[in-house]
Amino acid sequence: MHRLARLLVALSVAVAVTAAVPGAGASTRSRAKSDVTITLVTHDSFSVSKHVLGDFTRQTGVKVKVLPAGDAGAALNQVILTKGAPIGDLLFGVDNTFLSRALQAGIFETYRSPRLSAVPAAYQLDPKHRVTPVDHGDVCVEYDKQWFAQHHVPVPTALDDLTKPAYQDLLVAENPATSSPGLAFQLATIAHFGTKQWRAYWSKLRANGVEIVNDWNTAYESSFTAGGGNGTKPLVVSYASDPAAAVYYANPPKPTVSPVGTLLSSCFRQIEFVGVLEGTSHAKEARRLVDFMIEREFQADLPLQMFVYPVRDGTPLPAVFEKYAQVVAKPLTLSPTVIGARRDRWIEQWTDTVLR
Amino acid sequence: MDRHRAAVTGGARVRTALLLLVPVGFFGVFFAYPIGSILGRGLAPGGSVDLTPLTHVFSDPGLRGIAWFTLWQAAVSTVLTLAVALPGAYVLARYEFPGKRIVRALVTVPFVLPTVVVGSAFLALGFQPSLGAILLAHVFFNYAVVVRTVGGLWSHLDPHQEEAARVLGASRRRTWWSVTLPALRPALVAAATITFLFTFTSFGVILVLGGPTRSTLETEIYRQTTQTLNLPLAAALSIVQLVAVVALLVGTGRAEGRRATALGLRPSAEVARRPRTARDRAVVGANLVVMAALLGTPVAVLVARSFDTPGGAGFGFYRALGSVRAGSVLFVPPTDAIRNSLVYALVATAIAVTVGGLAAVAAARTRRRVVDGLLSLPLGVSAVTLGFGFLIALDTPPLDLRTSPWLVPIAQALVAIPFVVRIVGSVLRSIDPRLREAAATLGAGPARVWREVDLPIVTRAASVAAAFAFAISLGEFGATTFIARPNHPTLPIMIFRLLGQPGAQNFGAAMAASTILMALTLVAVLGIDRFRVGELGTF
Amino acid sequence: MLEIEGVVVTYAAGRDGKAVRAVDGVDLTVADGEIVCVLGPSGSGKSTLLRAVAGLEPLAAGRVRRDGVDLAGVPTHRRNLGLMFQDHALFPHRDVLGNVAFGLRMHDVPKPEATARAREALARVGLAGFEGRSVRSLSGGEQQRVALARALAPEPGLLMLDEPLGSLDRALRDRLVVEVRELLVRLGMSALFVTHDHDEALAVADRVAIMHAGRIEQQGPAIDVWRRPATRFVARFLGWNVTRLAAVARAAGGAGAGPVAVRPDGLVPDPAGPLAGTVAARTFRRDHFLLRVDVEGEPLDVTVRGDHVPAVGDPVRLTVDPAATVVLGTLDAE
Repeated sequence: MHRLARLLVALSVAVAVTAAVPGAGASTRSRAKSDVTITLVTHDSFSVSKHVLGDFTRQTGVKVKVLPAGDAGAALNQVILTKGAPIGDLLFGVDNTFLSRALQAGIFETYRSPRLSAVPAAYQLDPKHRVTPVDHGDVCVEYDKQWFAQHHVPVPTALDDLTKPAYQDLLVAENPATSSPGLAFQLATIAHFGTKQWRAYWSKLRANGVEIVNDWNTAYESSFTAGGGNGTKPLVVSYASDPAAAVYYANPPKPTVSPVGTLLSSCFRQIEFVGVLEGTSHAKEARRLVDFMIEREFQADLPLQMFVYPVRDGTPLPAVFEKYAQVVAKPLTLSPTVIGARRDRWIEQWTDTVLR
Repeated sequence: MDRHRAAVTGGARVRTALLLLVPVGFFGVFFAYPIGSILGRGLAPGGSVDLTPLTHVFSDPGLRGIAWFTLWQAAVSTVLTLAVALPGAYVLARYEFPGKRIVRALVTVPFVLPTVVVGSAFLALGFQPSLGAILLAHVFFNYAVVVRTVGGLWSHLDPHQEEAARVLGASRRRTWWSVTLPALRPALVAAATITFLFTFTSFGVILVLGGPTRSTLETEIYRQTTQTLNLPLAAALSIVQLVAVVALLVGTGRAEGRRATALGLRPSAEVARRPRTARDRAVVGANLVVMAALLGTPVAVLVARSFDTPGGAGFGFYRALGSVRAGSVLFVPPTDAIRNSLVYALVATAIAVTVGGLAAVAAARTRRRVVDGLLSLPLGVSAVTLGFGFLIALDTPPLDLRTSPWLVPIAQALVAIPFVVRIVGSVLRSIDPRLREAAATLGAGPARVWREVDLPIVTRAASVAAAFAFAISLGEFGATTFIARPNHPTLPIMIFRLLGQPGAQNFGAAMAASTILMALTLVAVLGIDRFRVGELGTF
Repeated sequence: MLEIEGVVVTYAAGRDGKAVRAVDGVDLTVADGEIVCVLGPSGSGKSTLLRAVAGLEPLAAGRVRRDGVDLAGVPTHRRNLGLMFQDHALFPHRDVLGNVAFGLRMHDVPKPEATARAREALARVGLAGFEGRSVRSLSGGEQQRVALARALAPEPGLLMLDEPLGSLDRALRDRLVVEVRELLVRLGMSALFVTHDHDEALAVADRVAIMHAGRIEQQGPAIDVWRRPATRFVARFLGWNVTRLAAVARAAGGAGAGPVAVRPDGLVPDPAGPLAGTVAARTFRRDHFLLRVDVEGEPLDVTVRGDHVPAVGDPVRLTVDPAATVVLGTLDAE
């Protein structure tokens, strides 16, 4: 038999053997009362500590299988497409910018969790409780402190500053058509300047040399000066948790002050929701997971896993957040219904104003 | 004189039909049906067919512009790739020099890299999103297509033909146009077709290196399907894309013409020779420089960054692969991702070789071009459309594979099958019919002739095809991103996720994982070249 | 015993699509233990005839019988004939022993016996020790012999050879010609082989059949055919001069106006000879010279030995040796 064929066969045998081992380990986990596994459909950026989910299983006997399904928009659309024969029992990751589409599609079952009493009303955007808020994050303009210090340029304090000549060619933003933070930033400008004036703002931004890229990764890693490498822009549309993340993921030794700062008046609030999918055969177990997700343990785990903030009142934040992240007191917001009704049109107009 | 014998007996027809059963069945269930479903959902949302989105594509200037841009950037990319890569193919085909095998393998590595990684590398090199960056990235990816397809045939062309032309008074240029080019035509057409297909449906490159102002059909389909959920428009765009691809395949199927057996072919070892004159050395040297610059630099950047830890050069990021975000439920140790990649690739290879091999054997007896073209369609269809098609089509048991890990190797196999068919098919066609006759005179009945003559040769071709399918599956990053899958990410997906997290450690870990992926691919590609079948395999 | 009766093989060719008769009614017999050679120029249909006997080409008409049994409907692999191809057609994916043992395997001979017989066959063609070699590494002559051994190993009743020595150089060919005949005679094997080289044919064959444009023009024992060509084509093909010159006709004893053939060594330079001509060309041929002499406008080939050989341009007179002349039949329409 051919040498390569033999090699491939040997390789597949070896792989099959090693594949068997972790599988065997998993199956010997102790089973509690019931034997149910529920599937949580999420986006690719979802993260929670293994032991936290393990605690859920220990408490309820229900296992959770996580199913990452692309970015938030893709995951939502996949669920919408498979309505009636859902691919999972819950969907996590719908945020306020896409909420109305999710609700209109009727993919969720109503469930009002008793734990909601600990969650401020401001986050409970659906009065019918088809979705439950889990975390919030703010999309803001972030700046590279070192760059501004070195170039003796004052740090911007307001959205209007970004159109000034002092900040020419310093900002990189994402395309709202392809990027969630990009969309959030656009919505921030709409919330701030109003539906009549936001386009003029963007015209000025364009004239002031704003760089537009298609996704957050390119903006942060390739264009942002405090990002991956050879960037040239010290201002980037990113997340309010960046100052904490930058320190957390920095190579040692860790700095005393975060290298990244937040332009607090530019922040748009994003709230992420979880909902039980219509048509699930494990509604009871799914609801218990919803409860769990707004209980203390899960909420406290959120910041270091997804770099978002818990919605539950009184949840302690990790040290790196307390020390390095700035609190966004007055984020900009828009009603999800309004967003849902006009988002596509707004993106069209944005494209016209900025790209064409 | 090569007399064609048609399989006129009923028995042979039945056998051919049986052979085609598996490939056609596979293609039907895992390609035609999902694509049909999603297109149907888009064009007949309420149950009745509504073709206005299609007319919209042609009436709306923005969409027309996108379609036009898709077409001409693919055409320019193809021409540019041919122009840059043909000299390289020549050097690798006609010259023998130390390290040639390694160079050949290295040239193939870019082809199987995920576009995400390459986009980052180009940006790291200082390229700004621009048309130039797109074209350059396309040449980077498809250089190997030309080298292996055209170079493969070139390395077997009898140089005596060209020498005869020179002696008869033809200048170098004349010889090239009147002797070499016509002889290379089948391979040139094949290379151009594949390159065009890939650049036409290019996604990651356009997204990262095109910037927000440039959009192709593929990126637009992605947007409309995953962001806006405007399925009718996405379906209309998919159809436009599909029609263009079908037209291309039909057109080039005709142009590809007769197969290589009609030409005077020599074993490659006889054809390749060491560079002797100064001109020879200049040609070889110049092309090696081009290859190093174009193909090597981005790769080198990635590798360098993977070792560029703050404490000096070291394996820090590789170690971080095993620890960064280790507590997360979605964390997979890199060994797991590597193992997943290998397992998926092996399964995909098995599927691709079986389905593709059967198709190639059947195609040799019947309308080859139709089978060939049909099975090449997955190369030209939007990965998003396919992924979402799986979602809505494969939702009833026993075919409820929507969240099954089996979808990943199936999607990978769909991309690898066209290559398997080409490789196995071209070898089958080049089997000397005298061998079969000799076997018959020695007492082998028709079935035995097949087993004794065709099968051993086909098996060797299949093992080359298998190695290639393996390499492609390792780096596949199209449809697998759009398939909801349980948490068994492959290396490319792991890289993609790492790139989506902030922080220097995650970025460095992504570079480290990319380097591992490249190393794995290199090993697989070196394996391909070891086991080249007989003398006449293209690609 | 092989009987070929009235065999016609056609294929559609030519721009008008009209069927071309590659073999146009051939009758030929090969007796047991006999070596028959079909001799003819390229395109005469001899290879096609062989392939038809092997069952690789369908018959348009006629019959092929083996020991009395009509082979129509018997597929190639059951005809138990050996066929040695012009281009060897050795299996590249098997080594020498694998090739030679192939036919034995097809006949379900148990492996140890097959290996032993294959080794014997290789030894018989002088290639003992070559068993493990790859076929690609062999020289032309060695490949030829492997192909021969492969065809012989299953001990078919009849061996067919298609231009077996065609691709070899002169010296090797001369040597192998003798070996092949000795081998065939020793094995007592019937053989039908095809060639365009008449030296080869005359050296190996018992009987010779000259083929031209799909038909056999003359057949018979080699010496007979050589000594007495029957038609103009055969004569020319064998190197005879064909002429109507009166002097030659007289020497041949032919009364009519029909053509006469005379061998080149039957024209002797003689100052008193009846033919007068000029030397137009002179070719050195090892032990003799071949002159082309223009006699009354006709070119004649003349063999001259010895020291005094006329040069180009010299006038020369020739006399005709009656023993080297033949009156040709009128049956050919050339």
